[in-house]
Amino acid sequence: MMKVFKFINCVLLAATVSLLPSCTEVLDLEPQDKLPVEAVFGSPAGVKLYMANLYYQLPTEDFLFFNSGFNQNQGGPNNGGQTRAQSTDEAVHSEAGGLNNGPNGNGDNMNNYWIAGYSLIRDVNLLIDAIPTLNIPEEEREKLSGEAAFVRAFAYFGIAIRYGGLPLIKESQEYLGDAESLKVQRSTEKETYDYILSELDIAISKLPESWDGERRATKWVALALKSRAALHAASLAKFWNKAPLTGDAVDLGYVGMSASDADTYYAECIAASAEIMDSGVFSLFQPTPATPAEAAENYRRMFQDPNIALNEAIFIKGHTIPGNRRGHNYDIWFTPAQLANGWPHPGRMNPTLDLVDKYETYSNPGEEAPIVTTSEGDIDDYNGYDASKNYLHFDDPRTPFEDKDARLHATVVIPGSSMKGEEIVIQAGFILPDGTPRIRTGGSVEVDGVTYYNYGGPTTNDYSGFDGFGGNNTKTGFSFRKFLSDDPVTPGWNQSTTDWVEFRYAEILLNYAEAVAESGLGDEARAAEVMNDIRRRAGHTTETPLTIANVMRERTVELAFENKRWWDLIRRRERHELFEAQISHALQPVLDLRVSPPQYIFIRANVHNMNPRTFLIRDYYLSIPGVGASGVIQNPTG
Amino acid sequence: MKQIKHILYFVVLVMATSCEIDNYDQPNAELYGTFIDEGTNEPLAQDIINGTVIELIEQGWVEDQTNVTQTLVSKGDGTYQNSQIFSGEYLVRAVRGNFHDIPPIESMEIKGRTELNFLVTPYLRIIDPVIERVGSTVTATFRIEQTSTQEVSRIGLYVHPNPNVGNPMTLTSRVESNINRLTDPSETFSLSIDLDANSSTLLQGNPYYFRIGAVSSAGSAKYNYGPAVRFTI
Repeated sequence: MMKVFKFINCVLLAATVSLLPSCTEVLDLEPQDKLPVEAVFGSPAGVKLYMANLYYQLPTEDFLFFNSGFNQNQGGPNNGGQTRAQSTDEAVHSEAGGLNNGPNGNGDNMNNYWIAGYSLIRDVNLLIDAIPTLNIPEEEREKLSGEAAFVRAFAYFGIAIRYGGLPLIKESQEYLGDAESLKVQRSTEKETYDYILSELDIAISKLPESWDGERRATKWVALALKSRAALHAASLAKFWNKAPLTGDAVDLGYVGMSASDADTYYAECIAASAEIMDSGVFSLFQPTPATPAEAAENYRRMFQDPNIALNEAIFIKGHTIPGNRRGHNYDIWFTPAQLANGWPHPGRMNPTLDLVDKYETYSNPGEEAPIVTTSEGDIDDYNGYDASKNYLHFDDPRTPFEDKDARLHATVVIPGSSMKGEEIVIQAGFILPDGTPRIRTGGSVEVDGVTYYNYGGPTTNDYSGFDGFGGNNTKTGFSFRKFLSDDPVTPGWNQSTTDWVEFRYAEILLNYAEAVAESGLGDEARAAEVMNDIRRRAGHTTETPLTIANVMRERTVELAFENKRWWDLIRRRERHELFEAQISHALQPVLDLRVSPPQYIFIRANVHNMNPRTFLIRDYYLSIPGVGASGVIQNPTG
Repeated sequence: MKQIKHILYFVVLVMATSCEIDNYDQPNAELYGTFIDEGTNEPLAQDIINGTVIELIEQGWVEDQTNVTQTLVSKGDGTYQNSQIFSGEYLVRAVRGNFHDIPPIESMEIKGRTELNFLVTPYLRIIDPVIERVGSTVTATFRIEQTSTQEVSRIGLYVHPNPNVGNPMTLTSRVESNINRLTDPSETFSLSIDLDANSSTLLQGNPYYFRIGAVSSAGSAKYNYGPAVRFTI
C-alpha cells in the first residue's frame, strides 16, 4: 500500500515538474503602466477608490483653492495665502494688496483648468466605458452612471466658465498611432452649456436621493449644479454684449452667447432650483433667530462646522484628519495676528471697507450702509486724515458697526471685537494732543502719564492691524472670521479639518431669486419670499422687494468668501466695469488723544501700497494652452 | 592601458558624431511700422496694455490651419515692432484696434527689415484738446469728431506718472462721463480733476501726465486719446 502511494506520488511529482514550465506564459505580459479594468472595478472597494479620486479632482473652489490652483494642501503649500476673494472687491492680501488674476490660462494657477479638467474627463470617460462590464447589481450600475454623468458635467462646467465653448470628448479616446484622429474641434459656447445641462439631466434621473450618510452626489447635488450652471449660461447670454469680442473664435461661435437664449437658461435655473425647494428635504439652518446676535452666532457656527446644518448643506467636501493632502490651511493663513499661536504667517485675508459697506443696517433695510465717519457725512473721500473735517468720536470702536447685519460680525473681525475670547486690536495710529496725526508710523507716546501705542499695543503679539511686520496685520482695518475654527490654531501646515460646503440651500434660493428677477419668469412672490427668508435668518424683520440690486447685494453678503463673487462678476460681465484702475478701501481706526479720555475716530482711506487693478474685456476668456498641437481655435487674445 | 585608450577613442568618436548642430536658422526678419491716422497723418496713440493686435499667419506652412497665429501688440504711441520673425509669406491683419476695421493683407513677404504702415481711420478724434490747471483743479476741454454714425460711449480724463496714461492706467476714481449719443464736432466737452480730492494719490510737487480719452460704442472699440500733457502739480 505504502509503495503504491509512493509510486503515485512520484508520478504526480514528475507530471507537475513537466507541466510547470508551460504554465508560466512568459510571453503574455500585462502592461506595467496600466491596470486592467477588472483590477480596479472588480470589487466594490476598487470602485469606491476610483470614485474618491474623481471627487477629489472636481473643480470645487474650496479651502484648497488658492492662487496656485486646486487642491493646494501638499507638503508646505507656500502660496502666500492668496485666494480668489483677494482678486475681487471682497478682500485684499496683507502683503500683495489686490490680486488681479486675469489673463493667465496657462501654468499653475487658479485659472488654468484646461489640462486638469480634461484629465478628469478622461478618467470619468474610462469609468463610463467600464460601467456596462461591471459585475454589480443593476441598481448600483444606474447610480454609478448617474455619478459619472455628474462628475463629467462638473468638469466641463469648470472648464467652460474659464475658456468658453469646448471640444466635447464624450467617450474615451484610444491612441492607435494616429494623433490626427484624436483631435476634436471646439463646440460653440451654447452647445457646451447645453451638453453640460443634458449630462446633468442624466445625473438627476439616475442618482439616488441619498447615499445613507456618504458624501456622494445625490439627485439634489446634481440639481444644485444645474441651478448654478443654468444661471451662469443665462447670465452670459443676457450680458455677453456688454463686453463684446471679435476674432475667429467669436465668428465660429466658440465664444459668444445670444441674448435670445437667456430666458431658456433662466427657466432651466428656475425649474432646477424649484425642484430642490419643493422637495421639502432642505431648509435654512436656524431660520428665525430671536436677535441679531443669535443670528450672527448661528451663521458663524454653520461654516465652522457645516455638519450641524445638514438641512442646509446640500454637498459637503470633508476634511477628516489633519496632514499632508488631507487638512487645509485657512486657519493658519487667515486668523488675526493676535491668535496666530506661534504660526509666523497669519492675517493674510483683509476684508475691504467696500464689502463692509454693503451690509445693510437693521434701521435702514434694503440699502447699502456705508460707514459714516464725519459729521459732514462724505463717504467718497479716501485721501486719509484731514484736519479740517469733523470726525465722529466713539468710546468703543465697535459702535459704528452695531446696527449692521449680523452676517458682517460672523464674516469679518471688526476692530475691537472678540474672537476666541480675545479682544482683537486693530488701530492705525493716533492724533497727538497738539493735533499732529501719527498714522501707520509705529511708536508710542505718553499723555498724562499713560502710554499709548500707535498700533494699540507694545508688541506685535498685542495687535492685528496696520503694522507692516511680517505681512501679518490687516491693512484694511478688518480681519477674517468666516469658516475659522474656535480651537486654537495648530501652527503647522495642513492642520485644519473644517468641512467645506460646495452647495448650500441659500445659494439655490438666491439663484432662484436672481433668475426670476432677471427674466420675469417663475413665481415672483415666491422669489421675494425666499430672498427675505435668508434676510430673516440674518435677523432682519423688514422685508425688501425683489429687485436686481436687492438680490445681488443679498447674494454678495450671504455668500461672501464662498468664492462665488468672482464668477458673479464674470458671468454678469461686471468685472471690467468695476475693475478699471480699481483701488480697494480701508477703514482706519485712529485714537484721538486730543480728547480725554481718548476716543476713536475712523478714516476712510485707500488701501495703502495697492496698485490699481484693471480687468480687460479679453480676459473674460482665458487663452487655451497647447493649441498648436491640438488644432483648437484660440480665444481672442487682443 | 592601450585598451583603455582605444575605448576612449571610441567613446570620443561616438560622442562627436552625435553632436549635430541644430539645423534650423533663427528668426532673421523684422516687421515694424506705425498706425497712422489717415486724416491727420499722425501716429494713432492708444492704450499700452490693451493695444491693437497684429495677427501673422505664415502661408504654406500648414494648409488651412488658422490657429497657428502669431500675435504682436502695438505700443502706446501707435508704433509696433517684432524683430524675431522667420522670413516668408504671411497673412497680416490688424484687429481689435481703436480704428475702423481694415481689410487683411492676404499675402506679403516679410524679409530682412520690412516696414508696414497701416493707414487707419480712428473711431473718434479728440479735437483742440486743452488741459490746464486753475487753482486746485485740472480741467480738460475738447471737442470730438466722429468718423461714423456710431455713438460716443464714454469720455474721460486720466492721470498717471507714466506717459501711457489712459483708461486702464489712472490714479483717480473715475473722471468719466457716459455720453451714449451722437455728438457734433462743434460741441465742447469739459472734464475736471479736483487735485485736493485726490491728494493721497496725486502728490503735490510731483509731475504727472494728463490725457483725454473717448471710446466709441462700436463693437470691441478701444479708446482714442489726445496727446498726454505733463506738468507738475
